[in-house]
Amino acid sequence: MKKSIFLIIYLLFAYISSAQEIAPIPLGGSLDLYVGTWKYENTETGEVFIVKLKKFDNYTAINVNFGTVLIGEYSYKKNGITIYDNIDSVSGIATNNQAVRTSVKCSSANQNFAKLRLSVIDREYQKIANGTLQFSLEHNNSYSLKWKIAESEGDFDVGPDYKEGLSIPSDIVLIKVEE
Amino acid sequence: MPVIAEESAKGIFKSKGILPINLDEFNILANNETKSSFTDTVTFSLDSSMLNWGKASQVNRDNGLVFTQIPFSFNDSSVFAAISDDMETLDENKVSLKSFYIKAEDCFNNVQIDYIVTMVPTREYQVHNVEYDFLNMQGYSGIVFYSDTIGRVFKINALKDGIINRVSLSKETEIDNPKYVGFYSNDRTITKSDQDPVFDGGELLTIVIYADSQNTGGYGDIIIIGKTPESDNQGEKPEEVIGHTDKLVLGGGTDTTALQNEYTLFVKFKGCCGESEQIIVAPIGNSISVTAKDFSSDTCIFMHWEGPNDILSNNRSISLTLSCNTTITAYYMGKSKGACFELAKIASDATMKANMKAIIDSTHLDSIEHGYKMRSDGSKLYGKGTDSTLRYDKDSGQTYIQRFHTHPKGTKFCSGADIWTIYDMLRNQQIRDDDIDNFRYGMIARDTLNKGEHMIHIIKIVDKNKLENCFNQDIINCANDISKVKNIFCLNYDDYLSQDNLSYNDKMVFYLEQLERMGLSLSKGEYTNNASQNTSKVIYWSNVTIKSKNGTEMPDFETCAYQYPNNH
Repeated sequence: MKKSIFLIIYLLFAYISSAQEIAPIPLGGSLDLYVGTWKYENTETGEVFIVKLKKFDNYTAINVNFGTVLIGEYSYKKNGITIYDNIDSVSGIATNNQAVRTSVKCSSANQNFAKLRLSVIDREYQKIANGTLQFSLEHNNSYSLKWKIAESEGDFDVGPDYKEGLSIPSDIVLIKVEE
Repeated sequence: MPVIAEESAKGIFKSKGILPINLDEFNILANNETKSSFTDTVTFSLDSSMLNWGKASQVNRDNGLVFTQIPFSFNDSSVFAAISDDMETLDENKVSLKSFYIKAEDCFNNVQIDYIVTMVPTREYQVHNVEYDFLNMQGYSGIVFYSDTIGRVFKINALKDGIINRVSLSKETEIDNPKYVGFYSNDRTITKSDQDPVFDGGELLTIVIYADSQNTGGYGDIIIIGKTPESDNQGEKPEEVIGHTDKLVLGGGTDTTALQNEYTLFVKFKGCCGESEQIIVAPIGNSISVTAKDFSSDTCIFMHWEGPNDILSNNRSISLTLSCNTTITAYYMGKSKGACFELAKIASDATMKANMKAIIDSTHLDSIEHGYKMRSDGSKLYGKGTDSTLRYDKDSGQTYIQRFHTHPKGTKFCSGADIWTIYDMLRNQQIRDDDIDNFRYGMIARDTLNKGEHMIHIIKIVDKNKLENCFNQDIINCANDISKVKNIFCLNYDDYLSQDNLSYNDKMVFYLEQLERMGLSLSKGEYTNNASQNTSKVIYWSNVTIKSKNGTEMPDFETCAYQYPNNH
């Protein structure tokens, strides 16, 4: 009888463990764990993509108060060459009306803080990309962000310098490297 | 009991083949009886030479009925008649009678019947109305016999002041309240003055007795019931004289073939343009092209054509091949209709609709964005699409009056980039000042959820200064970094509309608020698409504004009653 009970408990534990490969966010409805510096690195392609996020309360733009959002900046290197780097400006961002603006902003969707909407300005190609940012707790208790974006819809006049696609990674996982 | 005057009861009266009505069956005989057979009847036989084609005339009704009237040659010269309440006074009431060969055509149903009418006016009426005819029976008083082309009577109307009462001939001599009609041969003299034509002499050919009836019964039935109409409020008007256009004098020709060598198209213009008419005569079999008149597009715009055989077109120019005389009507709408006028402008813009239809059809064949820009000179530049963007090559120095694109993924609102594009065109002077009112920016969203309703948004610049001011100051604040201003606007705008937790109405209110602060207005259409035939139809248009209901802002979709045969 005792063996059976232990077996059931073991199987139940094993099932729960396997079902929680992606752990629920332990935030209690907070964006705080997104704040910090996140990094993606691919040694084969020589890509290093770093995003720095900070929380911003009462974010107001286009006559709308978006509430609390995350804003940030990024740097991107490829094969050792810096494509874009404005990461140090994040700390200076005061309001959205300033000339220096964020390039990454997230806000909650359906109060599900595990997956946020993501809008990115591709500084190099001067395009908007939209997608999602999904928080995960890895097995080693580290935090990761699933970054997935696509070029937004639009009707454009383009010049000869127009470039197809995006200059930044569109489907990557970033690891938190700094609070 | 009626008394037949002895002097009139001279024997068997006959039509003698002169009158286009064979009345022998009903003749009152000398023995105070009626005939029991057609013995001795001289059957009338129509000959083309009996008709005076030079005086043929025609009327058209709005419902597609066309009546052509050809008078008999003997009118006013060979025969005459009389109507009286009693036999004794018949001679005192002699009048001219008129017969007409009538061709009645129903253009809508491609039906034509020919018949003959013979009009015997009361003496009182004829004295004061010399110029009456079958197509001009307003106020007519007298008897009208309807017969077929061999003289068989199928209907008789007695009219008083233009109002009909159906009557029937009688084979009986004893009826209540009888009336008499006598027909006389041509061997008589006429002393005619303006006020009182006098008919003297002539042989009494035949005399019939009839009774008025308010129960019309069936044609050809002999029913002797009812009373003579005594007031204008009783009975009805003859259908041939209701709703006629002006009578058209045809003239010429010698037979029906000659008459039908050409048909007439009556073109009417109705609405803010005032009432007017144009008449076009076209040879049989020839196609006629008609174009709606131009009025000021700022105050009075063409809507659509209506006509027989389901003619229903929003195209200004239509082609018709007439199978009979036809009336078509062009309808116009004026600026006094307010918001509906704006929708009417969209709905009546054949060029824009054709342009839209082309990219709608393309969108339903593949999954990439399609679009065009129409230059001020009417030429078009097509964009290069992907599944999410549409790009145009440089088109230096050009100005535009339309710019439309599709959202194959079904996004129901113009994106931030779309809205910015309108501002950018203005900033880059791609919209001429005199084109501002007519410039339209359009977005067509495919219904990817297969709800059967695909959307069209058409944006108009209402306040140019508002649109410019909305972004100009931001550009100055950003040290003229236009891309930065654009990107920040698009980022925030798109972010708001991508919120999953907002309803369609919430997003629409935001969308309308954004448009309003930029001096833009929205008209919305919904269309259906037949997948198998890849044909699209706009169901309706509405003006979309914000209204407040119980303190909550809601989108208000104002449709217009005309929603003309919208499927366009």
